[in-house]
Amino acid sequence: MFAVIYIPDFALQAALRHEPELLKRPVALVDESLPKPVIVQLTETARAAGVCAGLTSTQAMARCRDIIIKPRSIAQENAAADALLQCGYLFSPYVEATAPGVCTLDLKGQTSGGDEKFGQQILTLLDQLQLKAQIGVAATPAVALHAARSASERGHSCPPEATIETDSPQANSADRNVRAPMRNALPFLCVNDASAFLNNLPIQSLQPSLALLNILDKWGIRTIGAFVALGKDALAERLGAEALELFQRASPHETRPLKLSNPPEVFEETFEFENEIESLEPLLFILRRFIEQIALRLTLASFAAEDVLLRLTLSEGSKYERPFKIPAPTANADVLFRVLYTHLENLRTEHPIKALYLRASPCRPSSEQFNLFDCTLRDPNHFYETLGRLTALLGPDRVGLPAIEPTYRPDAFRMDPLDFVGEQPLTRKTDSARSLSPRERAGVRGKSASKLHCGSDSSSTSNQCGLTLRRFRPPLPAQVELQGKHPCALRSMLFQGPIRRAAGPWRSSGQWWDKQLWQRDEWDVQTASGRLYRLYREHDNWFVEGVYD
Amino acid sequence: MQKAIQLRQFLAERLPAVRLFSEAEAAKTSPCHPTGLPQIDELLGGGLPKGAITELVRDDKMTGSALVLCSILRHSQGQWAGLIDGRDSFDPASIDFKLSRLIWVRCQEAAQALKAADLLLRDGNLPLVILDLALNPLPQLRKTPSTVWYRLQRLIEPKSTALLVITPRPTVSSAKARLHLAGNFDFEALDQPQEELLRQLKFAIVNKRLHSDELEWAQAG
Repeated sequence: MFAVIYIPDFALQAALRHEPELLKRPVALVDESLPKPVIVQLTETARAAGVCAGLTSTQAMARCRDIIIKPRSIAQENAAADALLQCGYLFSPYVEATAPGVCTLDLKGQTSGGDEKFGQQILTLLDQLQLKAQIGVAATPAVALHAARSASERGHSCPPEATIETDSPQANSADRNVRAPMRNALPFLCVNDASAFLNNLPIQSLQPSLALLNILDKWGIRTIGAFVALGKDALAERLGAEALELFQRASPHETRPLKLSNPPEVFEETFEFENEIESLEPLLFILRRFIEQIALRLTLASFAAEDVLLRLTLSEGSKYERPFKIPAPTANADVLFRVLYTHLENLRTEHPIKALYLRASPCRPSSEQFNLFDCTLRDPNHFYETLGRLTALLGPDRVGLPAIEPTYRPDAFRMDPLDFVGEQPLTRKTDSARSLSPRERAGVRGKSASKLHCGSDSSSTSNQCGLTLRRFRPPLPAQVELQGKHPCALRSMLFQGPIRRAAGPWRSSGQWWDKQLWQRDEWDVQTASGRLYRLYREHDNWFVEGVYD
Repeated sequence: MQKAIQLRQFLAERLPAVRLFSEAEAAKTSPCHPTGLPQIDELLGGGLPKGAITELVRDDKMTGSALVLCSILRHSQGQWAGLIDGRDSFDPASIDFKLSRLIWVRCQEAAQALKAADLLLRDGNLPLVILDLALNPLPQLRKTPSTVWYRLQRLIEPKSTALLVITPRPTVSSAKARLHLAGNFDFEALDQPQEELLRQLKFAIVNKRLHSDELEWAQAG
């Protein structure tokens, strides 16, 4: 058995997937890639207002004043096609992307493949993905496609309260051979007797060319049954190769191997705003729908998002792109939305936003076994969000993990972002001398070496000597009076008075090969107040670098 | 269940001096974050109390608060910790271990630091948060209304985070314990091992609030 999932007006549904409320309003889809852009698909409301395919936008607006014209979007169709294929893959491993909006499933090996419950499950899922589908089940892919296409017509041809029994004597022969207990409620059709089903289908179901259709119409051939009754040889002789192909398509027993395809592991959504937006609310509105759709698709495929890429196309053509690392990969829509919301809350763009693109990189949900003494964050995603808020409050270089730069330049450090994935157990620094002051480095080389490494090698005890420095950033300008070569008095905003003791100079320099050349003399001093400061002289200017505390 | 009750009764008879707690009681009465400094741990009964604020006061004449800060960070290096630096004065080069689990929040003013503390305490992921206001000017701290400290206290109460605030004057009205740092080093300290300097530090507890249940225990004991 084969099942075909058919999305009627696929391009239109794909374009309105993130604005499902528009399906009830007159909307027409215009293909702007055609030499003469005309309407290709439209909603029932638009059709009821007298608009039909083939009209130009102006003609459509003349017939229906309130009609909404939407451009056809290939990106949105691709996203919808991916969603359809991912949904189909949940119900069968043998899936074929037959055509845009048509997906064929091979149900071999499945015992309950053709029942109403099966159809209900698929339809419910697709409904969540904002796609209205019709499903047909039959012995061959071609018949299943015919069944899917006619599922809605059969279903909705009855009044809503009616329930047609397939065995009822009033039902026609085609109805007796299909299983659709609640056809009006469910666009699902299971064909048991393919010959009887096909016989009553209109000849247009085979999609012949207009010329051939005219000929058949003149002959009075209006159903597939009448067409097949003409005979294969007679049709080939009179109407040629096209009729032969149609005959094969109308055959109830002609089957074909499926061109199997794997569902793409791409989870992306795109949207072009009708009017450029300048405020956050409409952006968040669409973004929320994007996130919900992507989260649902990830969940269906048993994936979680480890990265999210947000791209905003601005009105003047430039693009704002921002990747987001999800610390603990998840498919929870609320968590994913919060991550983006925290960033967008503080985002200011120079131009209005024209289009939105969102892509989630899938990964398998992690199942990590921690060590007994390993401490981890309780909720990494929430913490990531908190760090985002802190960054918004203080600035981008004000929050993070401190890391020493590989240079002897004093106070050379950088702020690393948190890497939740590559978190490694703590190790001691390999080049501890990099972090030492010139005084301490002098100690390493000189007589104080034994003092410097006086502690044990345990990571819980310190190997360092001396008091810890609290730095002033930026260093405070000072005036220093020298007696001989030693500082004897200090004048700065912290202290004004004599220097009781001083040690130095501790000379250091570096990067003489580029413009960042630095050279300085450091002094440790104790003022008359008893406080211990670090001073340094650079280019004949004195500064207070910090206080020992 | 019956066996557990019998076992508790048996132990109570045999070991009357030992208190037996249920798991919930044990979790409630022994939530401490050890600092690795015996002077502080002994004074506070095991370490910085979790779900509460501890204030470390270092007045102008005293020295050693940065030393204490680095020592606590060193002792907590296996765990996540947050350092809210009220005056951007922390020197990463003064640490001789890798800071891969220390979130350093560099602020310029006390008001910024308090907002950052609010965010980190609301988050509740970090077991230890240190708010270092030692170098912040006193006028900035005086401007902070006491309600801010009570708000931080309310935020931290239901969580298992320990908050240590280093201040130049007694400031935190809602602190569960207030420690005064008594350490004054001279010029020779610049060449002494830090371990020895840490041993020389003295602390005095000037205020320790007890929760009502702990007070009952203390009175009963």
